[in-house]
Amino acid sequence: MKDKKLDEQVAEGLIQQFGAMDVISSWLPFDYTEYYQSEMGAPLFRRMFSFKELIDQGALANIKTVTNSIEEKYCTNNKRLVNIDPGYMLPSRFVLATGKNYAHRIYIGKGIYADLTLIYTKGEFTTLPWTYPDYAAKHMLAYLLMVRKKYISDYKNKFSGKNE
Amino acid sequence: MSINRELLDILACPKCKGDIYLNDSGDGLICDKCKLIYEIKDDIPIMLIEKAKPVTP
Repeated sequence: MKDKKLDEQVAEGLIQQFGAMDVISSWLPFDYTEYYQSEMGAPLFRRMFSFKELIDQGALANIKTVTNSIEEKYCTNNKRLVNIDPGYMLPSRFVLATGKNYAHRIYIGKGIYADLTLIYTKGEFTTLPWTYPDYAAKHMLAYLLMVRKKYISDYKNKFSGKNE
Repeated sequence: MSINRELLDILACPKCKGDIYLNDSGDGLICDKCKLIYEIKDDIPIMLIEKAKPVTP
């Protein structure tokens, strides 16, 4: 997004739909691509949010349709002011939802495709030929590694009956 | 401490979304604005507002 002031409202909308957030990133410049600039202007910024509630990976298409509807709330003259890219983390991979079809993306219903963005192997995330450079950046990988570690811990605790 | 510099740079306080930093003992992340400390447990920062503790002077 260009207007950082929208952050609070958008985050609130996401919390209403998906529950509490537990890991929030600082603002990051979104300057790896000019793709969104004609629609949203420049400079653009992004934040990463992760959510406390664990989800079924089969919910991703539905989640993307919900975030699309949130994006539609923040449109002027048919131009979006915010872009939301939901995804999920498994111990072995990080997957994003997208409406854009490419050879490497798998259709998951409702007009949505799953993009295998990163795989986790030999103790680190590995990029793939199609991984966007922003997801290969050092800070992003540090964030995602921490989220992965936290989700594994949460998952173990959930099924061992611990609260945390 | 196993919270690396890249991670510290990118994490934000979940309450005010402002900057946080590692405390002296390396077991918590402090937000000066909210005067809260987020505990680090098993190398994982617990970034939940309801689990944060007030910073004591």
